[in-house]
Amino acid sequence: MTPTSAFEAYCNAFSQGDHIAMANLFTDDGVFEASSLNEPIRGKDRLRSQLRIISQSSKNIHTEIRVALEQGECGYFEGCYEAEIIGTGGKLDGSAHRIDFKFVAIVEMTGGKIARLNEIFDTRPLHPEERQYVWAMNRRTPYWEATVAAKCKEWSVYNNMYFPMIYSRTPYEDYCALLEGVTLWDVGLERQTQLRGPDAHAFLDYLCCRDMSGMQVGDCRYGLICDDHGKIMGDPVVLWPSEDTIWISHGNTDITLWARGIVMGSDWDVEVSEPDIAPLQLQGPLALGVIQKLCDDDLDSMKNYSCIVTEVAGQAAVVSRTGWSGGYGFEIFPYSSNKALELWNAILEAGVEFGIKVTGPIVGRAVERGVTDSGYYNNSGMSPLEDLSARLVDIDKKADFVGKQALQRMRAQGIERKSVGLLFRDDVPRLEWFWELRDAHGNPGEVRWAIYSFALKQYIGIAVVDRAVETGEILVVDHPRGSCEAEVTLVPFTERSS
Amino acid sequence: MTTASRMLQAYLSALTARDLSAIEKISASGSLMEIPFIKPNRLVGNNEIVKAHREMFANLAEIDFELLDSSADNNHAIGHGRLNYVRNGGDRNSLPAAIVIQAAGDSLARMTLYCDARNLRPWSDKSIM
Repeated sequence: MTPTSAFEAYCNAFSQGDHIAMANLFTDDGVFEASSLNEPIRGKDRLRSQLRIISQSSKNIHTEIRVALEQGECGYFEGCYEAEIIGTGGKLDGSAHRIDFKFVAIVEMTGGKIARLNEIFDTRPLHPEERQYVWAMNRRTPYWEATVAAKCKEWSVYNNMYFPMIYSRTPYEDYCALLEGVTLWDVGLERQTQLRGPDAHAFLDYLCCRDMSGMQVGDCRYGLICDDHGKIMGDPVVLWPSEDTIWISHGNTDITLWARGIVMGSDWDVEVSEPDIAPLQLQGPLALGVIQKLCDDDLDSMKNYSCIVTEVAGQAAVVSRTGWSGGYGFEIFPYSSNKALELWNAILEAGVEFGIKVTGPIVGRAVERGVTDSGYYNNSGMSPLEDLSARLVDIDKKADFVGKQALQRMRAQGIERKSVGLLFRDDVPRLEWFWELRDAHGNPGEVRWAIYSFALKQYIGIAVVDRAVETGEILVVDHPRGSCEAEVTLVPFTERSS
Repeated sequence: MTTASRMLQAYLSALTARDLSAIEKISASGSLMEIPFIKPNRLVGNNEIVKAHREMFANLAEIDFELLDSSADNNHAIGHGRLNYVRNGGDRNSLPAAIVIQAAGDSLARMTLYCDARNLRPWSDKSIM
């Protein structure tokens, strides 16, 4: 192959998302350099992996070589690349988020194969939007500066704090980092409702509709907290790190306020507070390698849903084998946020050799795995008996709990709705609020999650529907850009990967 | 040496020398220059090109395109190397870069500079297409 024919073949394979064909154009020790990469990629295995991420992050890819110059085994090319980013849900006006740029590529050939490909371009079109402004009425986490430095551009508000959600990368890059590498998330907005005192354990059991009585020190347990009408307020992970301390690590509802209100004027002998603890999540199959460099305790032997008191990078902390990835990972709960950035930087430094990436929660992966959160049901009139986690509700547990009578009444009257998975038959926008749907009999329902699945290569969702709806049934969903059909399916959508 | 490669050498020399009169000689009334880290990043004609370079030179203590290799035919030249610059405050940077020259007869039709301008100007005001 000449440099020109090799580069043309490379561009054609790129347009087709065929990373194997792209990698096969290289010599075994071929090198790929690009302005968007931190370091050159060497060797076929790494080339395949990197070229897969690059080529499959986008669709409708168009490449064009506008100038081609050859000089022996070297080719110099000027061209353009135009593509739509997959998985963002598009812009508000319905147009796609795009990556369009011009480039110069220099190709060095050896024996008819590409020995080195160097692409030089301005990476700003890959990261086209500046970060959003935030408002002073909500709090920042102590990792704020680090997340801005890591190019976070969009935050949600969660527990009145800013939640870094989207960084300047394509969704597929983040998804691959979670499934194949290691990711660091700022979840300092996950607040801990701390229970201390003689009644701490019993009071926890009173707050939760799952039986928490069997928990012991070192355990973590997922639970559901209802109000007195039997409607879900939160789905915390409860940690019991030390004899005198229980933490309800909750989502986007002020469980501390709720618990203090219940305790106030009651006979409960329990102290409820919110300590200065700003957690981090370290998620992905390489998470152990990173955290073990910073912690003397053996974390490899930790069971899923367990926690220990330890030190991470010299800071006292609780480490748990939990997380919102639906896969392998840890959460780190430093006992104070005074040295938050020092901890963050130590983790990033330890993660360099593992290719650590700072990301937000990878919502697409969570939904694939059926891991849900506050946005799905909190304070939205949903009963835990309609939830995917209904099996974790222990209505008949011996102890009384908030909402027990209401849930018993609901059960006696019959549960009218249930949660199901959806396979959308068309692209849908990003879910900003619940979307209405209709089943085959005209019964209403609500889509409460919608996101692109890279595993299934289509948009998926979770909805609350009439109890009679069956798997395989086709529903009609109304979303801000129109209507589309969706097939009812089971959750989780995919198997556990790590 | 082709017309395009002569233009490439002439532009790089003018850039390093911060020579506005040489920049003016290289460009013509219809010349297009695309430089990702200045605003606007598409410059048409002598006036815009000279004005933008004057502002660029005023902000940089030094600038130099270190040409490592290049190729050219009569109409086009592509040079590859490193763009080195020192800001007035002393901040020194060096980044991979390339330049494409397109000649039309004896005139410069287009010069496009390629580099990752993210560290020079963090947010894009549209890509050069």
